This record gives sequence, structure tokens and C-alpha cells, in this order.
Amino acid sequence: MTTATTTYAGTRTRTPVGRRLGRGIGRRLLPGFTALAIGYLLIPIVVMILFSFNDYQGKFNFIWNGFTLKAWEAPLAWPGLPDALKLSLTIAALSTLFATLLGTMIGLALTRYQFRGRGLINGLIFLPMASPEIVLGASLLTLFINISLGAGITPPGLGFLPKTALSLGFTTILIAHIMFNISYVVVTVKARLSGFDRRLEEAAMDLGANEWTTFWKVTFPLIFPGILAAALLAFSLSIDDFVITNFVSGTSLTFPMWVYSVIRNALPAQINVIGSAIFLVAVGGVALATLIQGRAPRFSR
Amino acid sequence: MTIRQSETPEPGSWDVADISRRRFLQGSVLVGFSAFLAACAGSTTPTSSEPPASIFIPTAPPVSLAPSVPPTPLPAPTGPLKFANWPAYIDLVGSAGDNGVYAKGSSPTIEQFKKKYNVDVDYVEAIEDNKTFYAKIQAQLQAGTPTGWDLIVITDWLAAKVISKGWAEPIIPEDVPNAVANLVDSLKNRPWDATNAYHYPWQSGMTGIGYNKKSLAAAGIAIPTSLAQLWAIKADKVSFLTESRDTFGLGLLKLGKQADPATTTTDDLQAVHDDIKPLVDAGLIFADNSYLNNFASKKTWAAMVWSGDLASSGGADDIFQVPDEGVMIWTDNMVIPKGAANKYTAELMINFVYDPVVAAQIEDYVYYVCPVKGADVEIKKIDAAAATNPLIFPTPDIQAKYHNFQFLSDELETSLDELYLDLTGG
Amino acid sequence: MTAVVATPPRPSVLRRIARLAPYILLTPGLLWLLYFFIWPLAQMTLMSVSSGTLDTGFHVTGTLKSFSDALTKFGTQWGNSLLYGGTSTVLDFLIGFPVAYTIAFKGGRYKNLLLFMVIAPFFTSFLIRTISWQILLGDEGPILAFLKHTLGIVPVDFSILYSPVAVISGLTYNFLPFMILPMYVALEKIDFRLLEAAGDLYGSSWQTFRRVTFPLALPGVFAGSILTFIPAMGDYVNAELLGSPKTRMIGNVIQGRFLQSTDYPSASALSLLLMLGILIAVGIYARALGTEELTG
Repeated sequence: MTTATTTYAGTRTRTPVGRRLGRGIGRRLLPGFTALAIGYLLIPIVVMILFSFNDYQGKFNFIWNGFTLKAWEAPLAWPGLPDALKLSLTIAALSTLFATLLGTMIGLALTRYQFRGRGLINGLIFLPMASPEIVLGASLLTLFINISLGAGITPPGLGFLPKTALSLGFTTILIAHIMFNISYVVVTVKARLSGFDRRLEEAAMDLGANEWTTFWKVTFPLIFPGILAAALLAFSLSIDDFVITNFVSGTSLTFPMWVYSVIRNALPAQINVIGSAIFLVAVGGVALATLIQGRAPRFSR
Repeated sequence: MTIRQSETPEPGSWDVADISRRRFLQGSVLVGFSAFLAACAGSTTPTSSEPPASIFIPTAPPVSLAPSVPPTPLPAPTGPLKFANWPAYIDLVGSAGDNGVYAKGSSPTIEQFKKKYNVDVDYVEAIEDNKTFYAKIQAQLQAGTPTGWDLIVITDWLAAKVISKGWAEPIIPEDVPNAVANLVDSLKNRPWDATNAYHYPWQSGMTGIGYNKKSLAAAGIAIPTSLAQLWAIKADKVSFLTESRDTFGLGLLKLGKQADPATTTTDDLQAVHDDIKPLVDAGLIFADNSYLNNFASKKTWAAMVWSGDLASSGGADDIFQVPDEGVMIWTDNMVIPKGAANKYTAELMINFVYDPVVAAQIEDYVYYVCPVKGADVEIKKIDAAAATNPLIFPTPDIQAKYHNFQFLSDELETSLDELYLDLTGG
Repeated sequence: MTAVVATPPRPSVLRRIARLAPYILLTPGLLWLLYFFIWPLAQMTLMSVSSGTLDTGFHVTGTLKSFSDALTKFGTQWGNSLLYGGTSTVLDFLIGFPVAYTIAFKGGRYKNLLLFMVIAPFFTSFLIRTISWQILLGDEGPILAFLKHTLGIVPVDFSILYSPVAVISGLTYNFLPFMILPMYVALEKIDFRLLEAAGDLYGSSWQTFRRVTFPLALPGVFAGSILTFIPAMGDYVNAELLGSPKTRMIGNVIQGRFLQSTDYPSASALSLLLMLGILIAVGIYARALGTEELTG
């Protein structure tokens, strides 16, 4: 997951060994198998995009019935969809912002400083990723319900909030999304920082820059691609989350939850249109990130 | 303020002193009246879904003598009205006959309401089944915090429960003159809220068999007219309902037992469970309104369904069948949950859908049994065929097959929950 | 607890702040995790030893009934979780390893494109992907309709949806990229001089693979399997959308107890056991493979 947006400019394949390995089962079988597997991964996406152009009859977009641009011309024309999309985008943007900020800070602290308790902190970062989503959602629901019922033990400080401040809805969704995004940001940023050449900073300071200037002029540009990758990852995790959101959303509907509720008695092509649009935007985003990363100053490993 | 009062279309401007006195008198009368009605409910409700008077029915708290929030006379509607309803339960514009006036998937009724009162409405198909929805709002109601909803539509047993716990806002009769005037007699005087102080029915409906005639014909299966035949269809092409009262109610009828809360025992429920279990092992699924999706994808050939859905949202070959053994009858009710932010707007909505013209418009789409007097006259004007549709106006033959399995004793309810959970795999 | 700043000392007014820097950097994020990850887990632990209902209120009584119920009453669902989670992990490995290998060693200039296609599913909502599968695998969908009506080799009442096969396919599909990527990273890191040396030493490419390539890829295999197994084991959406009551997994039970029957104590106990079980399984697995290196 964390490597998703990192480039691998590999050029080492045409070696004697590579060729020799290629001779055996590898020559035909492996590429064929890989093509099949990738086809398997892409089929649902192809279906999604294809059916966004379907001129379906009735309310169910199940059976192919001819090409049309109708749904693309009115991509939001289904009640509840504009609100759900707006909520999803808002939550994704805000949670990305906060999680990237908090996660990057942790990532910096973990890679640049020596202090006691690192193991514990690493564990704390790892644990949310190792927990099933359902446990994260359920435990948050337990917390929020306990707070509203005045049961259990309220974490210090939260007791001062009005009773309804943490009632299920926008705030609780945002809290949950920031929480599960932090760890992914830390890991992604750390991966970029671990190859960081500290001598560049030293050189900057030898030249008279203070820590602040050094950070913004040298460190930040170098780790920026990592932060960008982390932010993209956080955004995509947030906008797609269903399991955790389902527990803490109350009456609010995010886009995945709207899809889940609408497919009971309709299957509008608008679902496919929005899905395809998100896909295209994400592809564009990654292409852009790759480009930026490619231009960023290289660092040695 | 005074100018505004006279301008608003709602009838009856009054002053505060007057209304509180009136409500005080009304309240004290109601307490006695509702007790009286509860006592003789069995005899006052001839045709409808009313169960025999029994000890299991929760009763409404007396209408508060001093209303907790004395409403300022004729407040302006506030919004957005958060309206939680079941899927396919209002006049939704489909692709067929889309005239471009309303967006696909939107509801003319909701759009008209928004325009008339210049207020926004969040109409959300948020209710999958009563239990799941109740689980979402119960903690808030218990804690005394708002649920986020202003108007919810829940079935008799849950409506009675919510009202008896004091978790519903009182509906002020003066705010809902249409509803007071047009509620059909058969749904008045219900023992759990005899004076409609807290609820008004949204729709009544039956639970029976739904099938796709083409799929069945292609597979050479006869149309199931009885529950026994439904049971006999290949189980992985069938779905039952997540609403456990419906599934077990019909299960009782299938076994030749009475689905009657007063006589049914936990052993009867166990027998139903044991009767359904083999089907589950053979691939039976439990669905809510999602059976519509399964009918559309041809995954499901026959199912337990609610009466109006296939006519409103299914394909041309999807048909509702009243089983030989009988149908379940129920009513879904509009209730304003405690702490609703837009209570007055919710009342306006209740009043709006009790206008026979609006009711006819909804009915002509949803095909459920209409609780509004005069809708039968109005519906003739827009759709002559609908006026004789037995889904909307059940014939006496069908009414004779009604069974009500709504109000269960704690013992039955606990047993039902456990057995249902076991069937659905926890 | 003093911070040792690695930066070579240089006279600056900011040095004092710099000493506190790691803590300033760590505090907000860790507090967030403490409040909204650790605290909820603690609450959940308390809930799991409580009794009562939402109607009567929950009270911590120290009872272990929820745990004993969780272990005894849901044998089928625990079994399904293990079986489906395990099967899909193994399938993902069998599909994923050759793919990762091919991309790493034979990708050539298409490497980035291939990798991109592997992660493409991440860019669409998994609900929409599942709907796509429902269209494809539908009883009258393109595949089965062809087999049933055009070829006539499959009975008309045959279906894939809502069966264990559908659930396992859903899980396998959803987590395949999680399996491929870490294995690819591990394979890609391998120094080619090692393989050349091994080629000279063993002579056969199979031996090279078995004795050098695969062992070096093990950390990737490990990371990929836990990235697949953990979410697959705890998943309930695939079983919900593609399965039937027969194929319920433990995640479905937790979801149902929390969101339908409001039996929070037993749902909490099940959640904790699930988490504990997964952590133990990961620990054993890590030891067995002899690697402690995780994804980070």
C-alpha cells in the first residue's frame, strides 16, 4: 500500500540471469499469467466505466441496452447524491489535511530524533493498521455512545464538551477518518525520510542557514513527494471508507454509504459516473505526483 | 409578527393564553379518553390491522399537560426537514415517463412541499428494517439527545414502543388539520395512541409472496399461490424478509398455525425456525427492500415481499400474490422523534401528505393501502385503473386473510430475536 | 527522557526548542491516537465485561459471559472467517507471486504501467467494484447467461452469487493488490549480482529461485500475507453483499450485534477476541517465517 505511489525506475531486467530465468517456464507462461491476473483486477473497473454509458431502462442499470451520454450529462441527478458527495469530499479533504499534518510530524520525529519509547510509539502507529476496520469502527461507536449516555469513562478533557458535541455525524466521521489515516501517513512519510541524506542539511547549516531556513529550503522540498504521496493515500482511503463510517455516521450519508442505501431499490448510472470520475481524477493525481516526484531532487539510499 | 400570522396559509391564528388553556383541557380529557378507548379497542376496530386487545400493547404516555415547548403561534417552517423513510415509499420519478419537470429519482411530493413552504427537505431512504433503524437512534433517544431526524416512519410495534417510552414529540392537532379530518376510521383509536397524539399512519401494507413470472416460467416452476409452494422453490432463488415479524408471521401461517400474538407460543416460533433452517442451509437469503435489486438482477425468482414494492419499483413481470394461507397486515406510522430540530416543519409534512390530492399522487406510485380519506376519489382523476387496484384498495376477500403479528410479549419477542439471529447466522 | 538531537550542535537561539522538538512533533498525533484509538479499545474492553441492555443501561460487572458466548456460540462464523480469510490469502499468494515476480524481473519499460494497473482498483470505490462483480456474476449476467442460454451447458437455476465461492472470490479480488505490492518491493530489491552468482553456483534457474530468490522475497511474502489476511479475516462487507446467512463471518456477527441487536457486550467481546486472535496469528507467523520486519 505504502509503495503505491513510489516510482520504481527499474532498468536492470536485461541481465544474463534475467534472460536465463526467462527461458524456463517464465517465457510464455509468466507474462500470460500476469496479463490474465491484471485483466482480473481491471475487469470491474472496465464494467464500471462501460455501464456509466448504458442507456438502461427502469431504475436498474444491470443489463446493457445501448450507448448514451445521458448520465454523464447529469452526473448528480439523483436525490441525495450531491449532498453525499459534498460530505465525502469535505471529510476527505479535512481528514487528509489533519492526518497529513499530524502524521508527517510523527514521521519527522521518528526518523530524525533519538528518544526513548520509540518501540512503543512504533507499535502504537502499527496497531491501527493491524486492527480490522470493524474493530476500529465498533470501538469508536462504543466510545461515542458511552459519552452521550454519560456511561463508561470519558477521556480527560472531552467531558467539558457539550453532550451533543460528539453525537454521531460529521464530527465523529471526521475524527474516525483522521484516526485511521494517521498511521498510513506516518509509514509513507517515514519510508521517504529513511533514505534522507542528512549531509544535505548539514551543508546548508554550514553555509549559515538556521534550522528553520534549512527545514523549509532543504528538508521540506526533499520530503515533499513523500508527503504528497501520503496525502493522496489518505484522501483515497477516506473517500472510499465504508466500514468505519457506517458505525459512526449517525444520520449523515457519505458517498459510499449513499451508494449502499440507494442500491436497495435502484441502480442509477450516476453511481458509475461518479465512480468513473473519481477513478479518472485519482489516475490524474497519481500521474501528477509521479511527475513531481520524478522532478524532485534525487537522494541516495 | 402579527402581519406574518395572518399571511400564513395555515388556519387558526390564536393567542398563547388561549392555546395553552385549550391544550390543558384537551390534555386532561385525552388521558381519560385514551384509557377508555384502550379498554374497548377490540370492538371499535372492525376491518383494519388492529390486533385483538391484548396485554402486549404498550400505551402512550398522557399528552403533557404543560407542553414542554410552548410553540409560538404559527412559527415559520425551519429546515432542512430530515425525513427518514423506507426505500420505494414515496412517488419517486423513474426513468419511464420522465417528463423532465422533476429530476430522475426525485419525488414530486417532496418537491411540491419544498416549493409551497419554501423550506428544504432531506428525504433519505434510511430505514432498512425496524430493528436496524431503531438500533441507530435508540442510544440518542435514551440519552435525551436529538436523533438528527425530524420525521421517521416506523411500523406499529416500534411506533408503540417509541411512543410509550416518551420518545415522540406530541403532534399538535391544530397544526395537522388535514390529518385530523382525513385519517381513515379504521386506523383511528389504536390502543397504543388512541387520539393520534403522537403518530399518523403513512401507509398500510401486506406481506405476501412476490415472484417474477418469466423466471419461473423459464424454469418450469408453477406460480406460487401458497406459502407451501414458496417454500418448495429452490432456496437459493428465494429470499425472506429481515423484518423478523413478517418472516415468522408467514412462517406460522405456512405451518397452519395462527399468527396471533395472543395465542402463539415460543414453541410455535421454534417450529417455524426449524421449518426455515433447511432452506437457509440450501442458500436462502434474508433481504430488506434490497429484494428489488435481486428481482432486477434475476437473482431472486420468488420472495416474501411487501405488497406495493414490486408494482412501484419492480419490472413488468414482478407480481405480488396474496398467499392462500393469509397475509400479514401492518401500518407504518409517521412519528416525530423527541428533540427533533424542525418539529413544526415535520407537522407541516404530516399535514401535507394528508391532503387527498397529495395522498393520491403518492398512492399512484407506491401502491400501498392508503390511510387518507378522499384519496380514492382523487386517484380516479389521475389513474382510473389504480382506483380498483386491490393493492391500494384490498377487496373484502383479501381483508379476510389479514393477520397481525405486531405486538409481542417480551417472552415472544426475545425468543423471536434469538431464533431469527440463529437463522441469519448471528 | 532527554532528547538527543542528532544535528551537530550549532549556536542558535532555536536550540532549546530543538531539544523539545521531537515531543512537540509527536504529541498532537499521538494524543489523537490515544483518544480515538486506545481509549475506545479500553472502553470496549470495559463493555465486554459489562452486562445489561441498551434499555436498562450497561454496567461493568466483571462477567465473562460475553467471552464464553463468543467462543462457544459462533463456531461456524469463526470457522468461516478462518476458512475464507485463509483461502483467499493463499489464493492471493498463488496469483500474486508470479505477477510480482514477472513485474519485478520482466517488467522492463512497462514496469510502472504494470504496477499502476495492479493498484488501479484502489482508485475506485470498493462498493462500486462489488456492484460490478454483481453485474458480471449475476444469474443472468454476461458470464452465466452465456453459459446457460447460448451454450446451454449450465442449468438455469445455477448461481454463483450468495455462495461461499462468491465470498472467497470477492475477498481474493479485493486484497490481491495488497499481496502483490509488498512482494514486488521485496523482489525488486534483490541484488542481481546475487542471482548471477547463484546461477553460476547452482546452474539451474529453479534452484536459483528456490534457494535464493524466494528466501530473499520472504519479507515481502510475509507483509503481503498479513496485509491480506488481517482485513480478509475481519471483513463483513463481502459476506454481506456476496454471501448468504450460511456464509456469515465473524465480522457479520460483530456488525449485527452492534448495529442491529444492540448487544454491545457480546459484540465487544467478539471484537477483542478477533483482534487478539489476529495479533497472535501474526506473531506466530512472523516467528515461523523468521522475520520481524513489517511493512513500515
